[in-house]
Amino acid sequence: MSVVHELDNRGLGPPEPMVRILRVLGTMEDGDALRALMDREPRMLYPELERRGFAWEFSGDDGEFVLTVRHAAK
Amino acid sequence: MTGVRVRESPPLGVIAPFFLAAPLGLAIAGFILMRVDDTAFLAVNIPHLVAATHATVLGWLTLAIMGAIYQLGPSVFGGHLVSLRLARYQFIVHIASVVCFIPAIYTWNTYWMAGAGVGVVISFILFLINAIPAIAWFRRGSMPRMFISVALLFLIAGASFGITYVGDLEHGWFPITQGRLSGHAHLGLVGFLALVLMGVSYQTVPMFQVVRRGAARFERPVLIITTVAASSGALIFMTDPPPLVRVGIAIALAAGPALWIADVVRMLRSRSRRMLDVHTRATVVSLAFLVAAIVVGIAAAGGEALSPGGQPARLQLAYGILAIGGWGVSTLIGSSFKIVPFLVWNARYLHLAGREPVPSIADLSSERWNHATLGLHSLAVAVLAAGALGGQLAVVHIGGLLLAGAGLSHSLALVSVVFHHPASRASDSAPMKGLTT
Repeated sequence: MSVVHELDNRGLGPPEPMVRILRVLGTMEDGDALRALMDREPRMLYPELERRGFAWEFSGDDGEFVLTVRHAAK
Repeated sequence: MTGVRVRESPPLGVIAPFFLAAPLGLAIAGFILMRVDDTAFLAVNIPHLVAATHATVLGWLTLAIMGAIYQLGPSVFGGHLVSLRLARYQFIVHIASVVCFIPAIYTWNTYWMAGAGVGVVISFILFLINAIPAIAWFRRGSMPRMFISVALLFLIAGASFGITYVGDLEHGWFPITQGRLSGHAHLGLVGFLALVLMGVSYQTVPMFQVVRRGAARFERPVLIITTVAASSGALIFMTDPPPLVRVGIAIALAAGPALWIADVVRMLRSRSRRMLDVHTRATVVSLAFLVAAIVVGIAAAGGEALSPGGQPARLQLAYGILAIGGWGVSTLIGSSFKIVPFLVWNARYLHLAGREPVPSIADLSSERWNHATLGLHSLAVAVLAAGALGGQLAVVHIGGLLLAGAGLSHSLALVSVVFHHPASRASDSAPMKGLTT
C-alpha cells in the first residue's frame, strides 16, 4: 500500500528543508510520495533528486509552496 | 513534472579560496592603521590611509564579492561560468596584484603602483569574463541580478579612473584634486560596493531569514536612485564643487541606501525565523553603521564648517571607516558565516544526506566564535570611528589592532569550517517535527 509522507518545512532556513526531504526519501518505497510544504522553491535540491532517481512537482504562490516527490518512472 | 535543470554551483575548491583570503585584507588594513601618524587627521589621501582603504576594498570586500558572484550566479541566477580554470587563475592574479599594490601605495612607489594596478585591472577583466555569463547579465526577471549587473558597470568605471590616476601619479597629466579622488571613491563605494551589497541582500535576507514575498517594496527605486546619484554625483564631485553642492550630492547618494534600510527593516520584521543568529546580528549591526555613515558623510561633505576642530579629514576618515568597515565588512562577515558553511555542507555532505548520518550546517562552525568575530569587528569599527572623530591617534591605533584581530579571527573561523573534520559528524536520526504519514 502506497504512503504519502507529509512534511512541513516552513520557517526553516537552508539547508534544513533539503536535509529533511532527503531523509524521508531514503525511507520511501516504490509508489510512495512525499508532500512537503515550503517557503520557497528548493532549487539546489533538484539536481540531487535527479541523481537519486526521483521526479517532482512544485506548485503554489505567495510564499506557500508544495513540493511533491515520487520515484521517477523507470 | 517541472523538469527544471539547475546548473551546478562551482566546486568548493574554486569558491573557498576567495572567502578564506578575503579577511586577511582587513587584517592588513588593521596593521596599517596601527602605524598611521597624526597627518591622518589633516588629509585622507596620505599613503597609509590610501593603502588601508585599498587593502579593505580590493583585498577584503572585492575578493569576497567575487567569490559570492561565482557562487550565486550559477546557483541562483541560472547563469554559468565560462571556465573554472579561469576563475582559479583570476584568484591568483588578484592576490598577487593586491599583495604588490598595497606595499607600493604604503611606500608611495608610483612605479610599482602602476605595475600592480595593471595587475588589478587584468584581474577585473578576467573576473568579468566569468561574472557576466555567471549572473546572466541584464537578463530580466530578477532585481538582485539587475543590481549586480549595474554594479559591474561601476566596477569598470571605478577601476578605469583608478588606473588613470595611478598613471597620472607617474606622468603628471593633471592634478588629482580632493574632488577627483572623491569621485573615484564613490564610484567604487556607492556604485559598485553599495549596489552589490543591497542587491545581494535582496536575495540573501529573504533566503536566510525566511521572509515572505512582498516585504521589500523599494527594490526598483533603490536601484534607479542609487545608479543616477552615484554616476552623476561622482562626475560632479570631480569638478570640486562648493560645500553646498557636495552636501546635495551626499544627500542624493544616501537616498537609495536609506530606502534600502527601510526595506531590510521591513523584511526583518516579517521574517518567520525569529532566532538571532550571526547573519541577523550582522545585518542589524551593518544597518546601524550605515545610518552613522550617512550622517557623518553628509557632515563631511559640508567641509570645514561642520568639521570638529576645523579638520574635515577627521569626518572623512570616520565616514570611510563607518561605510566601508562598518557597513560593507559587517554585511559580508554575516553573509560569509552563512555562505561558506552552506558550500562546505553541499560539497561534503549533500550526497550523503538521507543515506547516512550527516552533520547539520550548524555543526560545521562555532556560533560562539562567529559571534565573537562579529563583536570584535564591530568594536574595532566603533573605536576607529571614535578615534577619527575625536582626533585621538592612540585610539585609532587601538582600533587598528582590534581590526587586525577581527580579520585574523574571521579568516581562521572560515578555515575551520572549510577543513571541518568528518569525524565530528552528528547523527540525524532524531525524530523530525512536522512529519506525518
